[in-house]
Amino acid sequence: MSVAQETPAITEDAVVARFGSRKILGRLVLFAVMLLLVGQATLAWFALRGFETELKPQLNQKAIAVGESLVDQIGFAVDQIDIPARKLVGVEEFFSDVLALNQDIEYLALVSLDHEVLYVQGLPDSLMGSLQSSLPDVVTAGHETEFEGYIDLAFPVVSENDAGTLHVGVSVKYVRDRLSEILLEVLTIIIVTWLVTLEFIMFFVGMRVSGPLRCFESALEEGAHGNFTGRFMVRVRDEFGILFSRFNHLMSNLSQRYEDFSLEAQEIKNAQIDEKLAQKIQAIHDRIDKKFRSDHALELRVRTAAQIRVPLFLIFFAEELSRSFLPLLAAQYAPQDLGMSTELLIGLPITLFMGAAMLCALIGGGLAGRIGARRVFLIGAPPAVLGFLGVFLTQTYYDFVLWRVLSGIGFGFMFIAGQAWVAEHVTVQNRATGLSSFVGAVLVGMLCGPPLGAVIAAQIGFEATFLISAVIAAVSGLIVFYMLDDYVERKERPTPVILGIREWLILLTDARFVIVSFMISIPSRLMRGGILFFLVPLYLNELGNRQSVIGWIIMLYGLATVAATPLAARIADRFGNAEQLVPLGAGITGAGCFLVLLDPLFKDATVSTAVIVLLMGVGHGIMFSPALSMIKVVGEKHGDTVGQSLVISAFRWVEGAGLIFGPILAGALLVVVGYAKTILFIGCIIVACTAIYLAVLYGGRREAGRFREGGVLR
Amino acid sequence: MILAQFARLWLVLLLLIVSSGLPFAAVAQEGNRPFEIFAVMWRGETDVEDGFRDYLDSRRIPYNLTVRSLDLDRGNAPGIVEEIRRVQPDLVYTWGTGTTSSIVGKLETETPEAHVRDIPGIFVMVAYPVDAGIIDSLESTGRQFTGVTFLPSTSVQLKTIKSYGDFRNIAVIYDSTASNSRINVEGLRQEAGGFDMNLIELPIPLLENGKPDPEQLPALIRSAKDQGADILYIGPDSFLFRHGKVYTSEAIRAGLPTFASTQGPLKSFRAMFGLITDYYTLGKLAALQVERILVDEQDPEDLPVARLARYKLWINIDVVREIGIYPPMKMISIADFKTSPGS
Repeated sequence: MSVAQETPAITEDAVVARFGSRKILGRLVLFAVMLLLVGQATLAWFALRGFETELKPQLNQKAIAVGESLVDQIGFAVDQIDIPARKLVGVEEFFSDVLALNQDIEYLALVSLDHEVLYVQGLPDSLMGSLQSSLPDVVTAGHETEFEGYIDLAFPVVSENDAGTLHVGVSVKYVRDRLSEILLEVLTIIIVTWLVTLEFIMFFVGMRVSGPLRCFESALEEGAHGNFTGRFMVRVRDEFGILFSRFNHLMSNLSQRYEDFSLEAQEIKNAQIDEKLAQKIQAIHDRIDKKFRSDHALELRVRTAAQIRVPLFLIFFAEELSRSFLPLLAAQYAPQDLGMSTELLIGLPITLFMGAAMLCALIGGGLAGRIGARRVFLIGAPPAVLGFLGVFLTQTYYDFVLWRVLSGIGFGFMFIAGQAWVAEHVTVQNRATGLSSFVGAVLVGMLCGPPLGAVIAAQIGFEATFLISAVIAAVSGLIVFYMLDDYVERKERPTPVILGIREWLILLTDARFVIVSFMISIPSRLMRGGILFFLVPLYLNELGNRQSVIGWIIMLYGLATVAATPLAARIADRFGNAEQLVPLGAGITGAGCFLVLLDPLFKDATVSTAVIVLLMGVGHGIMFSPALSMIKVVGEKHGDTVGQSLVISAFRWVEGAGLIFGPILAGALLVVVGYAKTILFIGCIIVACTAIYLAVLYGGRREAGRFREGGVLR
Repeated sequence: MILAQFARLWLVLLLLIVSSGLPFAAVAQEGNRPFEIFAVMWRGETDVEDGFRDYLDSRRIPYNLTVRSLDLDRGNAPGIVEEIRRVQPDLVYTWGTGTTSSIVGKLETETPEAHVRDIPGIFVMVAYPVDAGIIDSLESTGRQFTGVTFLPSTSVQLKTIKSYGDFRNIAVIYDSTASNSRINVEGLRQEAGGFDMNLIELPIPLLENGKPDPEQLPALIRSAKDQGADILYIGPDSFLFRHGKVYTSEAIRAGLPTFASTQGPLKSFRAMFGLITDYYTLGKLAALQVERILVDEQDPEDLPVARLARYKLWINIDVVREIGIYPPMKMISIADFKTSPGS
C-alpha cells in the first residue's frame, strides 16, 4: 500500500522549509528546544542519581531476605531432620528455583566450614576459585565481600551440626544493566518529546506567525504593484487577526476611495463639453483603471503544503505507538478453539488493517478531488479514534479485529488526505519541499512511535496505550478541523479514469512495470509486513526481551530509512543512475535475512534480529524512491493511454498486496518452520526475486538498452 | 497508570456488587426462612463440619443444621431416614461411603423406599463415589445428589512420590475384598507406567472366613522388599488402617518408606509421608456446593463433584530419620513436618 515512504531526497529546500527560512524563527525554535533539553536532561540526571543510590541498598536488602529465609530452611533440614549437610537432597534444583524467582540474584552457594563448595547454582565454574579464595574465616550474617563484579553476602547456617555458610551473590552488572535500560528509556522519552515539540513549534509558528507574515508580504508586494484587492480570508483572533482585519479594512477603504475617484472621474468626464477632453479623461481613466483595478479579488489564505505535516505525523504516531506489541496483543486475544493456528490469527488483524486502509485510501483519493483533502481527513478521523478507543475496551478477539479494521478505515482516509493536501499545494517549484513534509511526517511518526509506545505499554499496559493513540488521533483531527483552511479549489480535472481491464493489460504487459512491481516492490513490502510488523515483535518477545528493547529495535527501521534515503539520493546524483540502487537495496534487505544463520554465534538471536531490521531499513531507504522513479518513467511512457497518476496508483495497489499478505505468509510459515527459518525463507524470496529482476533487466544488452531509455532519476 | 488503576478499581467494585448482591437477593426471595440442612455422620462431627458451618456463616446464608450420627452402625439408618422424611429438610448431607449408601442409597437400588431419594443432597468423605455406585460420574451425577471428593488424584499422588525420590518399584499391599482398595489398585496400575514406576501388587491372603489375614502383613512387607520394592503405598484401605501399627512398624524395620493417600496412617501410625486433604477446607468446599444448590438454585445433577486443588504434604520426621531417605530441599520448604504419634 502507499502507507509509507515515498522517500525523495531531503533537499536543502526541505531543510529550509522545516527549520524556517526566517532567522528569527530558527533562533526561537533552537532556543525553546535547547531550554527543553536542558530541563529534561537535568531532571533525568537527578532521577537517575536517585535511582542509583536507591537500587544498590534495596538489592542488598532483598539478597539478605532471601539469604535468611534459605538459611532457615537449610538449618531446619540439618538440625531438625538430622540430614548431614553433605547428604542434603536436591539442593541445586532448590537453588535454581529461588534464582528463577529472583532475577536480580546471580548465584547461591552452600560452602562447608572448611571452604569446600558443597552446592552451587548460577556461578560460572571459572569463578569458583575466586569465591573460595575470597571467603573469610569467620562470618556474621550478611557479611559483604566483593569479587569479580559480584557482591557476595554470606549467611552462616546456625546449626549444632557442621552445616557451613550460605552465599548469596548479587551482580554489580545487574545494577548497571538496569541503569542503562532506564537511561535508554529516559533518552527515548527526551528525544521523542524533543522531536514532537519541534514539530509542534514549527506547525504553530508556520500557522500563526510565519505563514501570516508571508501572506502579508505578498499582499504588500501586490500592493506595490498597484493591486489593492488583497483580502485576508483568515479568521483568527490573535494579534495577526487584528492586523488582518485592519489590513482588510484599509484595503476596502482604498478600493472604496478608488471607486469614488473613478466615479468622480466619470462625472468630470461626463460634465465635459469638449469631446476631446472627455476622451482624454476617459483614456487616462482607462489607463489608471488598467493599472489599479483587478477584476479578480485576491484571496489571501494561509495555506501551505507543510501545514498537514503535524496532523499527519500525529496519526502515524498514534498508529506506530502499538507497532512493537500489536502482534503480542493479538496473541492474547486469539482464540485457541477455532481450528486455525494462533500465528495466522495474530497476523490477521494486521492484514485486515492494511487492507481496509488501502481500500479507503483509494476511495479517499477520488473523494479528495471533489471535496478537498481537509474534509477527507476529517472523514477519517472519527473511525480512527473510535478504532483505537475500541481496542482499549476490547473483550474478545473478534471485536479486537473489528476495531483494528475501523482504525484502518480511518487511517487510510487520513493518510491519503495528507497526500492529497500536499498535492493540492505543490507547484513545480516547491514540489520537493511539499513532498518532504509528507515523507517527513511519516518518518518522524515511525521513529517516535514504536520506542515511546513500548515504554508507555510497559508502564500502563497494551490496551491503555491505545487510549493514548485515540487521544493523539483525536488531536490530529481537531487540529485539521480548527486550524486548516477549508477551501476547495474547483480545478478542472480530467475525470479520473478507473483502472479497467484495458489499463491493467497495458501495464501487465509492460516488462518494466511488471518486473519492478512484482520482483521488487511486492517482495519488499511482503518483508516489511511479514517480518517487521508481525514476526519481529513476536520473536523478540519470545527471546525474552523487554518491551522497550522491542520498541527500539523496531525504531531502527525508521532510523535506517531516514539515514539511507538522502545517502541514496546523493549517490544517485553523483553517479547518475538511480536504477541500480533498486537491486542494491533489495539485495541488502534479502542478504540481511541470512544473518539468522549466524545465530549460533551470538548468545541469543536478538542481535541478529536487530541487524536484520537495520539492514531492512537501509535497503528500503535506498530503493523506494528510485523504484518509484522507474514507475514514473513507465507512467510517462503510457501517459496517453493510462495516465501517470493511474500508473502510480496501480503500482500502489500491487505493492499493497505485499504488505497485506506479508503477515499471513509469515504466520503460515511460522507454524511450520519457526522464527529463524521463516526469516530465512522470506530472505530467499527477496534474493530470488532480485536475481530475476537483474536477469530480466540486465540480462541481454539489447534488452537492457531498450529498458534503459529515460530510466534515469530526475 | 492512573487510568489502568481506575479501570481495575471499577472492575473490582463491579465484581463486589455482583458477588455480594446476588446471594442476598436470592435469600431475600426465600422470605428470610433459614435453609434446613440435615446432616448424617458416621461417627460424630469432624473438622469438615466446622469448615462447612464457617463458610455458610461467612456468606451470611441463613440455615439450621440438624446433625445425626449412625455411630458406626448401618442398622441405625432406618430411624434416621424416617426422621428425614418427617422433617422434609431442604438438603441432606451425608458423611462417608457407608453413611451415604445407607441414607440415600446407591444409584441402582432394589429398595428405593428404604432411602431418601427425593431431597437434594451432598456427600463428603466418599473415596470412590462412582465406583461405589452412588453416582453416575463425577461430571454429571445422574441424580438429585452431588458432593466433594477428598482423595487427591492418583497421578497427583504418584507425582508427589516421584518428587520425594526416584522410586522405581512401588508395592501396594491391599485388602482385595474391599471395593475401595480394588478400585485404588486399578488406578495405580493405569498410572504407574507414566511415572516410570513398576507396580508390585500384593493382595493380602484370605482366611477361611473370607476375611484378609492380618498375620500375613510382616511376611508381605518382606516379600515386597525381596521383589525389589523401594516404597510402600497405602491407599484408602480400612483393613490396613485397622492394622496400621503393625504395618508401619514392619515397614520401618524393613527400611521401606511408606506413602499414605489418607490421613489415618500418618496421623495415627508411622507412615513416612503422604498427601492430606485438609478436612476444614473440604468442609468449605462442600458448603460452596450447598450454596450453589440452595441459593443459586442449580440442579445438583448438573453440579460436578468438586475436588480440592491443593493438598497438604505431611512428612513424619522421626520415620525419615530412622529410614535415612531424606526429602529434597524443595519438599522441605513446603511440607508439614510431624513427629510419630505418642513420641
